[in-house]
Amino acid sequence: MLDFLSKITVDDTVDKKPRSGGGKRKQVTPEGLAIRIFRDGSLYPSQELIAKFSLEYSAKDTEVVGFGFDVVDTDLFPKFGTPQRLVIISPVSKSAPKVDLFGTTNYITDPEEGVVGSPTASVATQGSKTFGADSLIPLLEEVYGLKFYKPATETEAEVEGADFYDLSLVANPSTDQPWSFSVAHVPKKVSRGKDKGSVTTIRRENVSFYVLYPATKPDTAENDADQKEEVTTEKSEVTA
Amino acid sequence: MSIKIGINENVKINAIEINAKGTLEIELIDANEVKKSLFDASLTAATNKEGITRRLLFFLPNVAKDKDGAEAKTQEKKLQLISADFQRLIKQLTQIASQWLTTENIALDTIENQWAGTGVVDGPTFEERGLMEAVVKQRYDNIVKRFVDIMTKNGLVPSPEPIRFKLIRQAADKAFPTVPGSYLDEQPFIELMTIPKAQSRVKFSAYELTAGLDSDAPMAKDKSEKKSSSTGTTKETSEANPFA
Repeated sequence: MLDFLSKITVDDTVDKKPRSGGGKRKQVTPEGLAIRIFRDGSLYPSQELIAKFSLEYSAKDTEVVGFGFDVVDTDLFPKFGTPQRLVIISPVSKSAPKVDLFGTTNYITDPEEGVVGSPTASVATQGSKTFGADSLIPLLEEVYGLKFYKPATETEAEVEGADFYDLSLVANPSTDQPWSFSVAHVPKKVSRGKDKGSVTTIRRENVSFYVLYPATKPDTAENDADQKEEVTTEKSEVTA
Repeated sequence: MSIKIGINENVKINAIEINAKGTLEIELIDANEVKKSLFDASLTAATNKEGITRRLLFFLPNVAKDKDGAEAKTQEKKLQLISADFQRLIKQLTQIASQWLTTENIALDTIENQWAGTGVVDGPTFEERGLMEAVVKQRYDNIVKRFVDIMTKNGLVPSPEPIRFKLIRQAADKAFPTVPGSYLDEQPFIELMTIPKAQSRVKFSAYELTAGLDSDAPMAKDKSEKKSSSTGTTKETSEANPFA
């Protein structure tokens, strides 16, 4: 059913090597309709994505709340018929419960810090890590074989891999539109309480799903040698 | 598989209709079975499987009547009771329709869909007319007719896909399967079978288990004080014994 994926063309001109913004500052903004995920789980949407899906945070108590994303493993969602396992993503109102990405922020409460009620961070630079680290990275590793760099610890050896990946949102190339459902019961992992880790469902209406697909692929043995020197240099510059 | 008290898997809604008495009926059927016509069923009477269908009735809410010797209920109390009955009915039917339809397309509780032709347009007119027999009947008719309409016009009868459907015991002393009527948001009674069992939210609550509402086994008389959560709204009629 999704044989079209073999015909997906993503921007393969994106440099496969992790980039450094110079000094200790991460270069966080990807291009196109994409999300950049770093090895520490921090996530950054592109400006195009922010504009298209109204991801930016609004002032507190405003009527226009904007959108975040649900992230779904198709293995848990049989209603999305696909011959191979994928990660799919759907825009959902920030006011909905259990929004996985870009759903919440803090607000200024002290007038000395700024306008009271304003978001403390922009969605473009917020870089929330919890969902990325706890859920999305393991999922990406499992579904797409992505390899994130992990430094050596007292108990574990260093793991070679990338400092970040760019993940593109891909619509149905046959229609240039996402896959839509009037009603969908989206699987969600319980994050707290006695049922933590189990999977439940949450009902969503008028949902549209995109495939979330890596725009860059894991380094292969063929290009490892070429990139090794540069990657080694850049790792020392990138702040986790 | 017979459809009974419990969590019935792989069933379908086979028919929805308003019967000759004006009561909404929903017929469930084992999704693996094909319902035979009455004539065809007569030719295999000796081997027909029993209990593969279950007819659920959603009764017209009754205006609470004062019992002899009991303290008379106030107008306000009666309005609360009738409102609770209608809320239960609307939530039950909405939960069924919401497996396939959006909230906007269901809309059983809007003023246009619920109160049309009743003369009730606001709080004061509700207090004035809400207990009138004709108003209660019209309100019920509006709700169930809209339910039948949206389900049939959207091709949802018979169900396009199998569902999981929980039926509970009507009461401690009544082992009739009935549709739950309380805490439906937290404890749904229906969902699509495409939701894996591990993710299912259709489960018996702690209360239902404690009260024995998950079982059709004969219960001791000393449990008869416990009440089911949906008393008076549905009644089971088995196809095998339509006069039960």
